Amino acid sequence: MSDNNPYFKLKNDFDVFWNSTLGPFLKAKEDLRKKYVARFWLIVLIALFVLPVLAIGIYVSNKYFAQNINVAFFYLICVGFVFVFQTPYRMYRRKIKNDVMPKFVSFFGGFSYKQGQGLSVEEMEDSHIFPKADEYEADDCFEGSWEGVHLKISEEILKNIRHRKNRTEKYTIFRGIGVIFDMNKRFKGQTVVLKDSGFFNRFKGFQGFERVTLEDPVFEKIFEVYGTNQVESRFLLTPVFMEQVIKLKNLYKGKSIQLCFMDNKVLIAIDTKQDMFEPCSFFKTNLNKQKIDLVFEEFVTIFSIIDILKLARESIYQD
Amino acid sequence: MHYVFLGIVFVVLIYFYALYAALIKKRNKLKEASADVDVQLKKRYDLIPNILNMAAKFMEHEKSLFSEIVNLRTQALKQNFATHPSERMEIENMLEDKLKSFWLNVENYPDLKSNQTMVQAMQTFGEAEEHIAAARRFYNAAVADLKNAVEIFPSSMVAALVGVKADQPFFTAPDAARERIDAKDFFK
Repeated sequence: MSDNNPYFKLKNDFDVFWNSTLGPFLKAKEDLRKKYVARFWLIVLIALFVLPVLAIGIYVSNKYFAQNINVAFFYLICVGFVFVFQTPYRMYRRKIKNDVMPKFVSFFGGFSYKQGQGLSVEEMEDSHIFPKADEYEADDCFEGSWEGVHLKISEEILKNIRHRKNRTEKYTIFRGIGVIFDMNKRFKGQTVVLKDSGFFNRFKGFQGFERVTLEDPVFEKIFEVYGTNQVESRFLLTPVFMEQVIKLKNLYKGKSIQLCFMDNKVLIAIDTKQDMFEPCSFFKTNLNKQKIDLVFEEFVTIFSIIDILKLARESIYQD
Repeated sequence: MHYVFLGIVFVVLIYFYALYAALIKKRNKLKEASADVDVQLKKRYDLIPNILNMAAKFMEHEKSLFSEIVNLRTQALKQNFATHPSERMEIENMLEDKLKSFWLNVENYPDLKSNQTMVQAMQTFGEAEEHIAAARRFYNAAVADLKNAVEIFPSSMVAALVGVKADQPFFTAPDAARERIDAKDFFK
């Protein structure tokens, strides 16, 4: 973070916060991490002993005692162990996040953290900016205000289920965040900004929506807009706002960004394709600040959307 | 052979019908955009009397400006934008110019500027102006779409046959807004 960055002071304050509050707190949690790591290694040791003995046992039984023990039984035990291997990590992750994240977000003032309580399925489906999925899973969720703008950040994992001959496969179609910001404009309809699909645009379209062709050629090349009201869509997507959306796209370079304006709010879906907001490692010490710095950067990047889209500018419209 | 010929004729007819349908859709879209401009301008006209009434108590020396605004508003209300776009654009540009002068003058009356009702009226007026700007952009996009269809072959042929014209003007910035601003003027 360079000196010119507006968040430079915030980073300095965060470093102070780390030294005074978060660092000592995580240091106290180090024993917890070690306890779960020890459990993990214990399971590994048990597996290293049990699995070869079991494999030899099945082989000897089948070969010399004419027993007919199915090899599938051995595979089943292996799968069981794989699941058990992950248990200490999962338990530690859940516990440490529930402990650390509320403390971490307290730095930003008035933010709350809830695990697994993100956007509702209706919110995602109605917005038209998330892919249609068979399974919706919410991970981390933060809610609060920054620069007077109320926002909700929700990490979402969307999966589809594919049925094959005798098995069912799940594959991820969206892994990223949905961020809802309060808008500083009042509006009644809905406007959706989708990534441009080139030739396939003509096959898109939703009931009650019309294609809104805007005058910014760069914006039009990256996005395509659908709205329930042509005038309202242009009221929201002014030439200046379009430029800001392009800047936002550049901020998350290479990631898919789509926006939906509804209920006086803007919902932004960013397909980051990675697990976000992970403050601690499992195998590495908590005293290393790298991971928490990364979460800080993730937050600051989201906050910078408020600056880029100028959402903090005082609403000139009163209800 | 006979069927092939009929098939070709059928495809050509379908193609021309599609061109015709697209052309009519574009013309209707322009009508919709013109009506939207009217609706948004109406909001402005509804606000003007209230704002002037509020300001009249404070700005007694600006009566000539007030009467000019009222006259332009009356002229504007006489004509429909959809049927007289050029005339209305001219009136709108003059009205905007006068309103700009009005808001600049309001700056000289701190009591008026800080009046809560006036502040709210200014906010509502600002919102109406943003909606007008959006409606104009929609109108310009619809005009451009129709002009392209009417002037570019092969839809130009269909337009000539069915008599669809694209003679509606574009909304442009008034001359005053396009004048080059010399920063030195502000430091005199």
